[in-house]
Amino acid sequence: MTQQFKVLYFASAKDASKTDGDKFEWSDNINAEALTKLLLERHPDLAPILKISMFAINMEYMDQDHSWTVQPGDEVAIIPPVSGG
Amino acid sequence: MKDIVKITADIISLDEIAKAVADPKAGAISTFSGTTRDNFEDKEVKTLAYEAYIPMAEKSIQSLITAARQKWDDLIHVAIVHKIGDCPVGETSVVIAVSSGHRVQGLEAVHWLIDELKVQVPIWKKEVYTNGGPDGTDGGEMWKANNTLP
Repeated sequence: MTQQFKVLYFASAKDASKTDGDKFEWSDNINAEALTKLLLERHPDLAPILKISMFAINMEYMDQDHSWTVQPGDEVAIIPPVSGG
Repeated sequence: MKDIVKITADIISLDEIAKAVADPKAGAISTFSGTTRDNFEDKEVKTLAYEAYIPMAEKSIQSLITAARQKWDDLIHVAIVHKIGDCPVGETSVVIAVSSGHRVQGLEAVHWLIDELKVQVPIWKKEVYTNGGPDGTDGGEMWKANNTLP
């Protein structure tokens, strides 16, 4: 069985992707750049939103320095600019 | 020392949350209550809706409370409750309540907690407008963004 990871979409990212979550096949070395590419292949309308969003993995914001990669079973979330309060 | 963290679709009561942090050792209960505005620039807001990445929002709020307890050692109980789903204009969207031995640290902590919540916690607000379109019927809607610095 192939290994996967999950992606969650919120707010404007959910509107653009028209889903609140989907699954991707995992492979080695999915860093921020590769993840962005995978997301845009499936959901081209996410392009403007990804430019202003953060990634969270397993409920932790990821550094902007891109020194991370997605692991099998991870829960990745697209976090557009927040507006709570 | 209680930490109360709740993301809820129910109507939020400032009174109940203030009571939940009451303590015989407290000399002060400091609170912040956020309510939804009826306007954005020249647009009239018809309804507002909040959405959250609930488990991460709860975890992130809990981390803020833990950090606040490290900054201010006089805090007794801390409660942060945020609404999700529809939030009609004028309704409470968020309440922060802190009991403390004396007032100064409680007031400072409440101010810091709401500023940090608005920057860090994965919660989003959508405004639906009544009068944005030229025909005055469909104003459209927009996901809002908070300023990145408190």
